[in-house]
Amino acid sequence: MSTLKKVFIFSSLGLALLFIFIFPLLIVSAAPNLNYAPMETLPGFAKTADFATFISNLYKFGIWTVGICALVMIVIGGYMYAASGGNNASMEKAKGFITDAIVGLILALLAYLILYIINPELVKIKMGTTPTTVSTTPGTGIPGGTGGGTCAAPTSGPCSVENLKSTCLASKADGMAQICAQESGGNTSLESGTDLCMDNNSFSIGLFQVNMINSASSAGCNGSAIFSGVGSSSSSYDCFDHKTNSKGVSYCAHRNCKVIDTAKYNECKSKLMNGSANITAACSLSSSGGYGPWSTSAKICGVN
Amino acid sequence: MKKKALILSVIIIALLLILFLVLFFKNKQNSSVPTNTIPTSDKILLPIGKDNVSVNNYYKEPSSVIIDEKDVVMEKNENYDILAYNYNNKRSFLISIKGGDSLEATRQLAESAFLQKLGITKEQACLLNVSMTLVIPGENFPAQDYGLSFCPNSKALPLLK
Repeated sequence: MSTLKKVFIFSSLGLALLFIFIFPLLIVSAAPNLNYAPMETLPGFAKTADFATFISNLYKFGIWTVGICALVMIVIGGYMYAASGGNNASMEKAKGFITDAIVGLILALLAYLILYIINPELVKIKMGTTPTTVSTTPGTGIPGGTGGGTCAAPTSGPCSVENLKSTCLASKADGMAQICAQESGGNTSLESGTDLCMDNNSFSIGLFQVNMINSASSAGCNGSAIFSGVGSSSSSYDCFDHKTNSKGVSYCAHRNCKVIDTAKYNECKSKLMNGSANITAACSLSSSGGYGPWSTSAKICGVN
Repeated sequence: MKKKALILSVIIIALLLILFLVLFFKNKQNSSVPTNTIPTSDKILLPIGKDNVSVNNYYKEPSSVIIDEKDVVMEKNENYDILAYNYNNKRSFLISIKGGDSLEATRQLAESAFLQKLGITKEQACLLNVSMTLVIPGENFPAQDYGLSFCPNSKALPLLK
């Protein structure tokens, strides 16, 4: 192969790699809140919700591909070598196959290995916009807010930004993670201690404290069939009695409602205590009202 | 010529061996943390860096309510809830303080119950991914993680007057 041809091939390859890896990174850097959802998953890798993980998986997939190709080439070269029957030209060709395969494999692995030996952090692709500001120190959890708010979004579990990015709340995962933390502290089984009926049954349940009376139809709950005295108006469950919190602020302790169908109430409550189902219900609420259904939490957290 | 063939054979065998070892250890690593099915063994190994912390299988605890593989309510009472999660293949724990005459006293009780249920020491607990949050009726404390009181970087709970 002539030198010119080699230069052309390597230049083309380099440019292709530049476009494949660098160009998308520039796009993501320019558009920080770009949500990336690949249409197809890479073989052997789970579906990713962020671009950095996808690129990382793509690189690993490339290494595996190079390894498998090298193995195939070595086997072919070995077969050619064995079948050369002492023919010098065939033997040289076979040796060329094997040598090229081994050199290719070593080159592919060396790039990663050298960077990894220098500093393992070098092989981790990080986007400035992914929720890396939150602490990953075990046992200390969630020190700071993300997405512009002041509440702390959990680093793991159902309320985490990472999890919400894989749900229908992906487009506002940063804000909704804070809302989720403020509403329930990330507790999927939480029954509200303030949204209580006169019979002490809670009507706001789970991660996003979804209101069973008027906001849980997407979870298959019919509020008016479960609670008495509940109509379409919010006045139908006006405050029954008040209490005062530690700062002397009055709040409603019980609402003017009552459970009339315990079986349906428990069924609806169980549904909303499932993290995924609660998030789906929150999606439905959020799609029409943004952060509105959680206006108090949004205000406390400064999410807008 | 025979020498070269021998060298090539050794290289091929070495590559195959490396491939086998990589696959073997990858599978072994995956099997140490069963993440897609509910574990049935008495202990669960939680990976912490290169090591593991062995905890009691909370799916088998009599007090546990298994919502699904991702959500387990290990304990639920008037003052606190203890939950175990497995979202995005990461096992984590949540202690949710809901009330009590003294929040710090509730915290101590919840932490003791947490250690006892998992069968671990305080030092091991600090290695795990554990969050502690407050959901006190009528109070509007901005959401934050207070952490386990005996771990570094834990925060004091607010006082209720």
